[in-house]
Amino acid sequence: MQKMTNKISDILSSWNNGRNVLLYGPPATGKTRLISDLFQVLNIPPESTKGIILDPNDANSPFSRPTQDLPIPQPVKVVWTTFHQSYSYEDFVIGLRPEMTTSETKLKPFAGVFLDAALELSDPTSDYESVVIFIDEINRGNAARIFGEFMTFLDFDYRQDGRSPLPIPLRQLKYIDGHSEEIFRSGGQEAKIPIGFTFPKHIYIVATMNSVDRAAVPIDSALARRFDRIEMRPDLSVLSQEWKLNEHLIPTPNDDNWQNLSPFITAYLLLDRLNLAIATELGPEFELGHGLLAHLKTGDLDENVIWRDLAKAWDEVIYPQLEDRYSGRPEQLIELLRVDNPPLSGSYAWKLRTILSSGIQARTLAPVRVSEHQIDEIKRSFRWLTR
Amino acid sequence: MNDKLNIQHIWWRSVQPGEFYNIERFHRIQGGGGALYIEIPGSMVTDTLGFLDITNTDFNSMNSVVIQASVIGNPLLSGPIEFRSKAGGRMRISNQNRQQPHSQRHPAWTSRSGFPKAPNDVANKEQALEYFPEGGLRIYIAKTFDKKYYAGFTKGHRPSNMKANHPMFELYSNKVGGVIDAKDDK
Repeated sequence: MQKMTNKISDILSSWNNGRNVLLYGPPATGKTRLISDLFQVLNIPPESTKGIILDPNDANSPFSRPTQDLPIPQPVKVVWTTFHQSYSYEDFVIGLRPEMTTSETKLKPFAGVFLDAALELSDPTSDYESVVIFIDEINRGNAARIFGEFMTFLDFDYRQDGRSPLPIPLRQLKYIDGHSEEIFRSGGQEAKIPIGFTFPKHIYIVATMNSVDRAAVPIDSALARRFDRIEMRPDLSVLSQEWKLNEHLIPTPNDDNWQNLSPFITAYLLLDRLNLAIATELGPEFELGHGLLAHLKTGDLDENVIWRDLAKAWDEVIYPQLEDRYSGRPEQLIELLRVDNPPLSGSYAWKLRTILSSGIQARTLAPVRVSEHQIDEIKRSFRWLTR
Repeated sequence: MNDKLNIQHIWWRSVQPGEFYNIERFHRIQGGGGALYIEIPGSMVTDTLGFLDITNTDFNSMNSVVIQASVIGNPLLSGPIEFRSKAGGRMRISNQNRQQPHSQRHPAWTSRSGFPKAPNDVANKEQALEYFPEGGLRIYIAKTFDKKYYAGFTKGHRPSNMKANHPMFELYSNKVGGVIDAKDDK
């Protein structure tokens, strides 16, 4: 996908400029998918769009495109980690673990993900020339505590071949004859580092951050400025490509056409309208990602199946996200769902809750599973919501 | 010869059924010899001379240009390919009839390399058509950046799974021919 390819180019460009990358945005905007695609690119660099290579021994398919040059040296070791509330400096930089023998129990240093990457590239027997660390959900852990003094080495200036390389400050290690004690590594190897050891250049980080999650902490500013930020926004064109819609031909819904909108055009317009309302009322970082609707498939010949799938996506994914975003703002949600202004005729999925004993309506939404309603009501309700 | 090579240009030409007949049939037929070559139409001459690194002026002062091209699929085997001028601003690849004396049919374009073949006694274009691949026949010559040449051919329809960016995409087109520049971004 072209847009995805452009984002990968942006990441590679940042790495080429000695900068790590932070992908941020609402859920379902393709952050993890992008990382997965990047993972593929690092393992198998994509073909270039120009240049021709000839294999003179291959009569059947002698020509091919050369692979694209990556800005980081190859081969690349890829490490994936996810930050969480229990993730610590000991996991990421260095920790001490007990080693028991028959005679004693000692604390031995173990390299975390970041230090292990540095030791990998300092190992003369290593097969790798660079290491890429993917950090998912970087704002779910306490990043400042996790990186500790190694936050300095996110900055390429302070690494080997940088403008002011600094020795890594691992005071918890014992040094004898100019070398540290043995440090255990994740693969079972052991390594020592010399006094004055500088952090290798070719360690690159790409991290993701959910901009909506209230359970996550805001990212530390000292950490944030050491990353190039790439915003992942909801992108309707991803859906139009997936659903083979010509965006120029999507109509503006009005009195004459709203009852004839196809399920895909309805879903496209629905997400657009919801996101405009969310961006206006709550902020663009709370918009709904296009991935929430990406599972609607064009292969279904029966249009009613697509309407039912849309209703199911609404019940199970979209409405819970709306409830979360509009928590404490019931009137705005009522207005967003046009409960006070339903279609002039026919039943409508969203209603106010009624007190059964008195018939009085409360200003709160009646619980509803749209996917369990009649197909005509599903169509009418979603089509009406696009306006 | 296991190393892959960087290609600068690929010259190619679509072989028409009539040409296929002319280069496959007995060289002497009733009513005259007829064409025993593969024609390069006027529209391709400038690009062809560019491919051969020759100016129009230089070509006019020469009888012909001969390149030595290896066979793709069997690169230890090679043969000459002679480009000559022709009346009407056209060019030709000479002596390609495989039955003529002193034939210079390039080994990449022989049945040994899988090139289509009509019987020696094929009598006319219609008979030759039986042996002409459905979907077309094209010959091509690839030139490396250090001016080494490699010849091959494609036959039939373009494979359905071939992407538009594939460097062989054009080599399955139904156009007359042309020169593919490896620098062109697809």
